[in-house]
Amino acid sequence: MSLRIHKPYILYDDGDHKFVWLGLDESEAEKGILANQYMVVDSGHGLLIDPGGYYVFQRVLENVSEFIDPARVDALFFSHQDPDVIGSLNILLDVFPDATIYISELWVRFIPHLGALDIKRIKPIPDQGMDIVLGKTTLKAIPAHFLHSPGNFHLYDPASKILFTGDLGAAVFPPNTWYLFVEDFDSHAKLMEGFHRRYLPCRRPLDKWLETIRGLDIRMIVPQHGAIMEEDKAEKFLKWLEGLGEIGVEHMEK
Amino acid sequence: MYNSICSYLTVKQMFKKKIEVPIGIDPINVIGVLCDKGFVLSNMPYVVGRSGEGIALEFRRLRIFRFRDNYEVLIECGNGSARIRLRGSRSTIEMIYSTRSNGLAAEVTYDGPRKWVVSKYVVEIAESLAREAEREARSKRAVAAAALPAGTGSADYSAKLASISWVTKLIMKSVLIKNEVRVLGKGKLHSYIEELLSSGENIFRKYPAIYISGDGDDARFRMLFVGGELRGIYAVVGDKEFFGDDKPLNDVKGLVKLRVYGVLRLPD
Repeated sequence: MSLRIHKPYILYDDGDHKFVWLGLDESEAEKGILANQYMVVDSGHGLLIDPGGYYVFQRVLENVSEFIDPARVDALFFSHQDPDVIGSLNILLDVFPDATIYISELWVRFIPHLGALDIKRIKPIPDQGMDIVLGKTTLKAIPAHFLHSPGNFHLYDPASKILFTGDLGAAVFPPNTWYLFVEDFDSHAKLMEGFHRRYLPCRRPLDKWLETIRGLDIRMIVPQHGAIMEEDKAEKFLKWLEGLGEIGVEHMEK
Repeated sequence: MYNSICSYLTVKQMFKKKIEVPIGIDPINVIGVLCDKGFVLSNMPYVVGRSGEGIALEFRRLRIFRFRDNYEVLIECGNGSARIRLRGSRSTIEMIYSTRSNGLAAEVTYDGPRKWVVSKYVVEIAESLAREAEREARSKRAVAAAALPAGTGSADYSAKLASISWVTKLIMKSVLIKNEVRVLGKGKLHSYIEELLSSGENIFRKYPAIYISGDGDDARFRMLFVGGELRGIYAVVGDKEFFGDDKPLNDVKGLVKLRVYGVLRLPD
């Protein structure tokens, strides 16, 4: 049985500013690594985060339309270049005609291979990151290079204090099981370990990222795969990453 | 004080409300969709967990108050009504839908603790499920219409162009060849398209089909040309949909964003 959750869940809402989880579709080939898509809405303007591949697109569009007119989607933020992140780019450009694409400058030259030739709509994110203005809020594209992609960014929303962490925090759920919020961190950590040891290349980029985000006021960590970690679970997750030990090449050599 | 808080957190209270949901199609078709357990599981709002066919719902108010429970979903149907019952370990939510001349009536019941947190959401759940079921019933009708052969013997893609999943497949198999913004007066879209199609690039020779989509001030449209012939038009003007009719294109005006795709292969 495939999991399908086609209704969104609002993670933060102060009236003018929202952070929304956009639902879930599971393909059997994903083998438990289910992809999350999110949207930030501020003053009636929208930004989609890692809106995903073709087969999730219809649900993403329907859920976006529950909150704003698709023509008010100003921005599409892609953490990196994987198909589960960027696969539906062509149709996204079609249904969100005013949206600017934000992606690492490393990947801009590869986008034409998806059939999207309108380079004018792409705003490359430089290696050091950048601010992205959405309505009255300034979101921050935070460098997360080599976690796992060499040109990789996370997104911090200072209004909701939510940090989107792309593949960091990914978990592999057992068959027919899924949850949106982590309740028991220790048991959830077991579902995250395999992914982090194999998909991240080595320890150094992770330590550098932990330094980078240290000053941020984080209430919630929302990954592209896996479950959301709030408050004390977010803190436990950062501590868990610190203590993860060898990963990637170092782990494989062992 | 302590006792009153504890009783608020644990004592079961009942909430009951009758609502009406206007429906724009035959409501019996919507009841049919609500009887599909797979549909209900996929379209239930406030789901934060799934385990087999069980679901967890979580309701939050004011960032302080929360209520979460795990539910088994039970559905009974018959005599033009659908009874959807969520049986939880601490609470029960029940929605009984029946048909009315212009829509659905629903009796919504919540029995459990933290009524103040949950009651607002159970009404929202009942309304949301009815609206999603209407959308699903409409979509099924559009798919059925699209499957009908056109009178001329050549397929009419107008109904398919209304389906975002079909358009997704179409664009997957296409190349974006033009993306521009034009200021068009009322009734000028036709001449723009004629100009485009007769341009020196001769895009019809390069691609077996051409898909054009556009958005204007209060109208949007999708068109499909196959082998140089117009084979489908879908337009939305205001909140009205039009299938296979080129007259609404006269209403596409203002700052119009246009995308032209060369279709490499038509989807099934």
